[in-house]
Amino acid sequence: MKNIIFDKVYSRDTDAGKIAYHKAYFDWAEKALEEIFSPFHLADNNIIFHISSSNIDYKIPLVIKDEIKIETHLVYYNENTLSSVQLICKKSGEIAAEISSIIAFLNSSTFESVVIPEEVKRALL
Amino acid sequence: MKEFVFTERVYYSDTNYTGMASIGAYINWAEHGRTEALRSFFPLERYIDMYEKRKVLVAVKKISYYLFSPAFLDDTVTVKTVCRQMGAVSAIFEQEVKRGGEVLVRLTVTLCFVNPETGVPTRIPLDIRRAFENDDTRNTKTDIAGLS
Repeated sequence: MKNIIFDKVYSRDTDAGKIAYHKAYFDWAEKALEEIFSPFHLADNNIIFHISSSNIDYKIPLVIKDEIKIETHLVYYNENTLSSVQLICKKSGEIAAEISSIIAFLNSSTFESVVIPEEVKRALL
Repeated sequence: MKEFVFTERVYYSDTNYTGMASIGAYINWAEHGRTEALRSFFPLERYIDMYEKRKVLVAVKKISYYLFSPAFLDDTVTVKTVCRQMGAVSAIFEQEVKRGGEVLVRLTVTLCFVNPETGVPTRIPLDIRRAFENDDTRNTKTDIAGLS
């Protein structure tokens, strides 16, 4: 499954070094995943997704007002987890960061791991 | 290499609607751990001056993050920071966020020192390199306010 969202670097995303703060990239990646899972109403079923591991490679810095594209590629990994590769790109197409993650699902009350919700699995396979 | 321990508390701002700390919180705590480790070497300098004086900027190049168990609102967590490797222009830090003896998150963070004007990688200043390379294995503990 592939998904693209657009965003912009706002002042809250930057730091005193005058570039986007490294945490902002995780926020954008999480936001893109949330957009993908949004139609499946996970919260209504007491399920929450969480990023259980991640590798991020920062390639070029982003600065305030940069328009960005977050491209997410999501694949089935195993019964409990999905694997994603996300590219955060500048408007020019240059890749600012690449993020590979493993995404798991938890019961939002017990925080125990649950299998991938059936609707999510169907959409991916 | 020296090991630094910094204590944090999980506040509302760190959590999502389930009460669990969000990924960004661990990234922030890890940065606080690295910052306080550096500050402990140069206690009389303002953090911003440390870099301006030496004409360097520190950029995060890579982060590997592995979550074993989440932190929750009101938890007290400690961030353990060790500088594992110092290259000519980059340094690798290994960090753990723990609740008591339980490791919640393990991170490996690669930092790159760059010239703030050109953005080109530059050598790690000698005094910073020496401070981190010092083989003294004492524990440096800092409280939540970073004052002790």
